[in-house]
Amino acid sequence: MSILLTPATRAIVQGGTGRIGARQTEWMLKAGTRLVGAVTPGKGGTELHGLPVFDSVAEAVERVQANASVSFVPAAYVRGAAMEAVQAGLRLVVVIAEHVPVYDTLEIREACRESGTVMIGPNTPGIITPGVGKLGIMPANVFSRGHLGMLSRSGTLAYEVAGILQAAGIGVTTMVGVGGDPIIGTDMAEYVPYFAADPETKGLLVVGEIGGTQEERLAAALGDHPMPACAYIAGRTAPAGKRMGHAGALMSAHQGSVAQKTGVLERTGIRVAESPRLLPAAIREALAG
Amino acid sequence: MKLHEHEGKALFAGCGIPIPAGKVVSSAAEAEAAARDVGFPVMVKAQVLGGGRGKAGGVAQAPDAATVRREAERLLASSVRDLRIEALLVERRVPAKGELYISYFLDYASEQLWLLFSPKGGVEVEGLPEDQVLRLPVSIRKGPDLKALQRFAAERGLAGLGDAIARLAHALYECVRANDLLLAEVNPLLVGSDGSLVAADARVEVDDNALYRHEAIASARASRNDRTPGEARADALGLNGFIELDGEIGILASGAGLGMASMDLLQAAGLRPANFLETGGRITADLVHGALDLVLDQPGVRGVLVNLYGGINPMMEAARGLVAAVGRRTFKVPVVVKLFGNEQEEAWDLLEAAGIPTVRGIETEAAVERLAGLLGVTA
Repeated sequence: MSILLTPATRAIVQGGTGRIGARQTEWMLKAGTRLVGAVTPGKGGTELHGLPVFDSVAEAVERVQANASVSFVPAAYVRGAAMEAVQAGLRLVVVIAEHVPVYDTLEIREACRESGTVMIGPNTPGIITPGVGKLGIMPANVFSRGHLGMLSRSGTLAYEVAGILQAAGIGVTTMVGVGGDPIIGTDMAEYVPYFAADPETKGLLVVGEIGGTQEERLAAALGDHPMPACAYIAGRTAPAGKRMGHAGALMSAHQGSVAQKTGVLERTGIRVAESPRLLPAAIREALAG
Repeated sequence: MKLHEHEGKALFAGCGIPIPAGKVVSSAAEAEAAARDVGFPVMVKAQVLGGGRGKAGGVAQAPDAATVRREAERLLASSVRDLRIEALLVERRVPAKGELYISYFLDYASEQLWLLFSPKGGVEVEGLPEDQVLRLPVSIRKGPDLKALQRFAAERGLAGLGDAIARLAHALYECVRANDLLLAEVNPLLVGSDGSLVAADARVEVDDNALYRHEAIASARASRNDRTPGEARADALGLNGFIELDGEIGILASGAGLGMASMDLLQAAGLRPANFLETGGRITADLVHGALDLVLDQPGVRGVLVNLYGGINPMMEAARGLVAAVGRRTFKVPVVVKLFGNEQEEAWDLLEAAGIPTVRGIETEAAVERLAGLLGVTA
């Protein structure tokens, strides 16, 4: 089993006919992902790596029973594409683009909450379930199948951590890159009930970073859904008041430091490793109870 | 991006919110002419970003031309919180029988847009008693609950102004949404003798990610002179993030998390970062070449950690850029490279053939240890 991206997922690619979208579509197919089509307005009737291309999401739902989307459309077109996916009734919408205006994110999020759609991102590498596939841009080869749920606010750091776990023989059920923006579709805490309900997930690994309060809320969610958990949080030496690359990684003088987040997580019984290299041992200890 | 008061007010006026008659000037003579145009008495206000300007002496009242000249000269020769005053706003002083407070702000902690209103304007809203401030969450799809705002105003003795306040709150919300404002604060909102409302100040912040759809604001930003030379170079290269720090080890990373982890691991090994640099996802040879030049040009850099992952472009691109940047230098500082992604083996071979220390693996710690070893530093 796995969460959100499962054998029942029938995904379409929005913005798949551009250069980057086409390349990523090819790699998602190689990773075994069940893609059932692509949607690019004006390109309906053509093909993309053997997938039928439709003009609208509604058409893809009707013709190939799509229930999820991964979107590579540029930031300026994200709102339109995501709203179309929500209105067409998709259950999962993955928004890869970075630099999406925050009010666009908020509008999509409100629409998703009304319809019960799960929105991953924006500014995310996406979601991967080893053995099932991936909706996103992460390298499939560093993720092994296993029993750990994984949540990350960062992309490339998640790949490094996954590679370290793989070398140590530890795999994941599903990894969700939640997105690096200060406001995202679904917070880390909101994924906890999904992992808690998945019989194959035996524990949770969190790759966090400075800024915001997601790690703190995740700790509270783990209080309601107890399971073994470990974390690594980047940004111990980041200066306060500076945006570290993406806007979510901004520590104020009062809030969002690694020390504060570590304190809250550890009080909830979550082990916080000081470096990625120490994670495999911390995970083994946590799983052993 | 924070806007100057006059820029914020221009947005307000464009949304039908009354503002005092005023002009932006940059000399005492211009200030005097502007004051004659708008009519005495006037306010002379330093255009600097951030709050606390009044307390820092950045605002003056002037009943006549001589005072305008004197105050303009004083302000243009001074600074507010180390920011040089380069422009002044000369405004007609609006007679007022009351001062209110209103703002919208997008709060990242609660992930929510809020409407704040208080019958007590002119002071910092954080200092007001709880019962004097209305805090209303705003639905992005439905807009603010203006009825709740009117009820609150009526309960605080502003019944006669309820409609005017609701109209202004509506116009300000339209302004927030039309311009992608993260903050739109009017403090004070003046109540004229006839009950009309005038925005006497404007603290406004725009979402950087939305600048592409607000050309006028974007061009104001481009002409602004608030970046260090290094930051300007980073922006010109199209880097996602560049922050200058006070250490001696340059960092070039793809991804904010990987960049921050690199900083943390360097520090743990007894090495202090000279900068944070995040390339963003589109790694090309030119981008990496420019980024490494930028990092190496920082004074006092005695080593560099390159930590890249290529999800779209092959790592050979990055390797070519690194080899070109290192090869151009006569004064060599160690540049240790860890990279993984497409074509990683070819990239490692190319780097090693060029004599660049390369870590073949996925652990940042290994690259940090290699660099520390080359510099003879032990944690």
